[in-house]
Amino acid sequence: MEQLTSSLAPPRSSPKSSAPSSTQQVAGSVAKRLSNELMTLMMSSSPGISAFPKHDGNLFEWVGTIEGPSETIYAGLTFKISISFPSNYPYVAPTIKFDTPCYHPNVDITGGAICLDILQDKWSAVYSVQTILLSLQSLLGEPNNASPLNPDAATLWDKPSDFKTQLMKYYRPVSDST
Amino acid sequence: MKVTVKQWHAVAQWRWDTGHPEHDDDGEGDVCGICRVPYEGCCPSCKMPGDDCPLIWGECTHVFHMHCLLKWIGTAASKQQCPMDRKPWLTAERKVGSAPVS
Amino acid sequence: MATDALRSQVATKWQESFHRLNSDAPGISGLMNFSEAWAISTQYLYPWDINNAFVGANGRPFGKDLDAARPAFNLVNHSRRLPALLEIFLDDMRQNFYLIENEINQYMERYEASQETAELELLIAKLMEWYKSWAPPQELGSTVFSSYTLNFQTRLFSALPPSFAHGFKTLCARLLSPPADDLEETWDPNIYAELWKDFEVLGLIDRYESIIASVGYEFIEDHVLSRCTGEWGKPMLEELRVWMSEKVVPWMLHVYARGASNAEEARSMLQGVGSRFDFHINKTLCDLRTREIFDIIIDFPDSMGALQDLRDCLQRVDQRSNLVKSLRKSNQKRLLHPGADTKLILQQYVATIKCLRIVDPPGVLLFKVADPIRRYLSIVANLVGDDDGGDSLVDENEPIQPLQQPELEDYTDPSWEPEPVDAGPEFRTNKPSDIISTLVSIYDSKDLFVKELQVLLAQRLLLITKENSDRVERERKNVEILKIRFGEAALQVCEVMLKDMTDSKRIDGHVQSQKDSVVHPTIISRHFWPSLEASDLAMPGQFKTLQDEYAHEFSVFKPDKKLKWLPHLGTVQLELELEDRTVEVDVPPLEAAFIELFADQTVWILDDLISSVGSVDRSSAIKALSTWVDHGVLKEDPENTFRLLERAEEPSESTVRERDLAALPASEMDAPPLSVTQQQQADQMRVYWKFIEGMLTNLEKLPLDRIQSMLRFAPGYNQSIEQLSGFMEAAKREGLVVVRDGIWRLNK
Repeated sequence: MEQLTSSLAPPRSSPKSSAPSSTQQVAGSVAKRLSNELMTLMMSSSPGISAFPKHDGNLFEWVGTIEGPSETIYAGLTFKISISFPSNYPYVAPTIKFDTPCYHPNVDITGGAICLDILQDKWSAVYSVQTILLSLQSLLGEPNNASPLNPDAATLWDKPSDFKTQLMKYYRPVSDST
Repeated sequence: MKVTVKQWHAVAQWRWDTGHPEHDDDGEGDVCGICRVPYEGCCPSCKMPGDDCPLIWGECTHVFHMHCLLKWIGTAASKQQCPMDRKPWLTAERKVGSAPVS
Repeated sequence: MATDALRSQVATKWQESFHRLNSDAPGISGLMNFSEAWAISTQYLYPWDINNAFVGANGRPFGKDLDAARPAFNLVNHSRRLPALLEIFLDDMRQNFYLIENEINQYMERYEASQETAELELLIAKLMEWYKSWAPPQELGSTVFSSYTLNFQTRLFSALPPSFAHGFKTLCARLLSPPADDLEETWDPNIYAELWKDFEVLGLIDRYESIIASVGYEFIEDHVLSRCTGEWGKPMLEELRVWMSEKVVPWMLHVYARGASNAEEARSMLQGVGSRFDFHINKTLCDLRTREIFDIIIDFPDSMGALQDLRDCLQRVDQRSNLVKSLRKSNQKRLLHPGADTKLILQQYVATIKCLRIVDPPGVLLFKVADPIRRYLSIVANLVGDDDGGDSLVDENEPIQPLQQPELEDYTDPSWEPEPVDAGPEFRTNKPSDIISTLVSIYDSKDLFVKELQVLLAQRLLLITKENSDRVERERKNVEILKIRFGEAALQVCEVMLKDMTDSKRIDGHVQSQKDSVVHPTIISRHFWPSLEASDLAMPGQFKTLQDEYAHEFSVFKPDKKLKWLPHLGTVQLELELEDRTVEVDVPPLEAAFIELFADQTVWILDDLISSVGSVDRSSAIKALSTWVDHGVLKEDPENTFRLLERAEEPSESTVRERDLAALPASEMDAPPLSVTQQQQADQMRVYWKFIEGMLTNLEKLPLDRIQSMLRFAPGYNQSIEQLSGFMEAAKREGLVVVRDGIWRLNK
């Protein structure tokens, strides 16, 4: 309903209020950067990674798709992630979690939280959705077993067949109606 | 025949002299890695490009809109490092603030 | 016996008739009396030859003594033999009508020879004479009289030759308009009242009613056309109505209000036809103004009167679609052709908007007419005011209001009106406020409109040179006004452009103070000016030196910046010193580049000239060189070889240039080839496909309407859902997507 009203009554600019307030301006500039990133991501062809906003009219919540890299234990599997951008992006990293259960040393199997340095203390304002997706894709094949969120998975990593059994036990394909 | 130019109303664009050769001269040009806006555009907090929204050069040769870089440096996460190479940020003296040569 | 019965029946009848005829008089004296009365009656009531009558002893035509005939008529009437008398009379008329027919033929022959309607007037008079002479007396009662009249008229109509109708029409027209030598003021249409009565008596008015009406219509048309054609300064409709009541209504009274006993009755009888004639005035004027509309718009605002008339007529006459057709057609023919000057198109466009707002305040017509112009012009109108004032869209007398987006209709507003019936589905009521809002509403969106504004402003700013730099202030003022309408943010880019103008002036002041230069550049900000077409032009010789020197001084002043020249833009003021003359001209840079080459080498072939200035297309090169041929500085001899004329030659071979220009395809000279936009469209579709692929990869399956709304994330997306549907179907045929129950997904 709110969406309907707002689309019917676009913001009116009057001489006094035409200068955007500072918060609007910030949101506007972040949206601008995000739309810029979306365009770049759509036009680049990085195999196996993709992302798109969840809802029309909101650039701050995206869905990402990562295909397991070939030659890794995740090959042939597809993982959905959700990406949530803060209002001070890119000075602060987006929040990212796996929506598809991912059995992985650096991923929390229940909540989907990820332990990846560039999403925490190594974040830089020059990183982008594309950088993040590529990092996550390579993280699948090369976990950091030193700081595991899933100690079981870290232990099992060296036993591929056992690991694969666990992985497939948790894995739920995105949609089964194909 | 002698050709004398009495007056020439010419048109030119100004460009930042980033010291990098420009590969695609007529394209969009290089962008600031932080805000993704071209150098000759202005950063999200500015309205006027050019002198009002200058660039800043690091000793590491990386270039950003000054306002973007300062804002980054102001965050705890930055650890005062260049966002590109994560080396400690040192502003190069070579351009910024240099007075016009008379 | 049957015969006996029949016989007695006949006998009874006979007795009855006998008694009636005999009037119960003794013996057969009654019958004798009747017989005599019958003879007198039939003699009196006889269609005689009025040109050839016996004159009786009493000086009257033989047998035409009514006093004598009256008792006889009474007796015949009393004997109930009047119907028989009438029957015989009508039969006699049939036999004798040839007399009148002969007469008609004689008059008509004379009329056809002379084409004088006076002959027809004489004919009418003569017919009246016949009619009156044959007419039964009042004593025989109205039935007999009207039978006679009807019979006479019927025979008359069949006797009148076909040419009479045309002559009668001419005559009626003459009765309506004053004689040529009479002054209009003193003309009294009533002098023909008698003649109109004759027409009525002879049944001509009923018979020729449609002809008489057409006389009225044509009379109105002639008057409207002669009085109003090209007269656009004041409204004419009222004047026409006064004229109608003074000149046409008296004439109409004879035709349409005959038999009215008083003015009141006459008025009510005239009501129907009066409204038809008034409609005809409106229709004629409306058609005239519709034909003239293109020139009326050119004449605006001097043609205000004509526009008001058109508005009033259109309320009475439904001719709106004709007006649209006419204006579209004349725009197509006279405005939107390749040779038309863009500025002229813009002026006419602005004038069209202003005019149609007067004619049609709701703006439906404008919507329909403006569309083709809009398609033709990629630049809209002279949006930012011009100093000549005439074509400014920013009317400083109009209160400035922030731009209102179309609002929901407020039905409680007492001035609310339904949309006109011819408003198409695309028409959105934008309550008329000012021209800019109207333009915005016909332009698909505010964004697009602002974009056009920027293109226009850029063009105008780049024309500003050192000499007229005060115009920047005027542009600034306009932008301020537009900012109030569109909001500050929308016009931010314009702000930057204006700042570039003042910065350029300041920088130039500094550079000149360090080192004098003839170069005065406008230095613009990349990304903030509408994309100016790229060029590979490289200025040769001293121009290159001038550029380098200036660029160097600039970099000294602004050490962190450098200049990138846009050499194809701007103008150069040159002085050429030749052996026998000096030529001073203002030329575009390409012309300057070419002539500079001739300073060192006096003969060049075209291909070498082109490669010496970087790369320019051949048609631009020929155009630039022909400028110098026109100035008598260069000569093309032979083809594609150009020679400097150090000494002037008689300009004898300017035909060379015409040959070259004529050989160029028109499209190269006038408009960028269409394929550019087609290429752009293909590129755009590729971008949209990437977005669709991206959203279906991540969101798996979507209905069409969600794909449509998600595509708004793609910059500049403007396809309708129908277009999208077609696109998706095409993608399905390519095997890229599949659809089930209206839900789309990628074909994996």
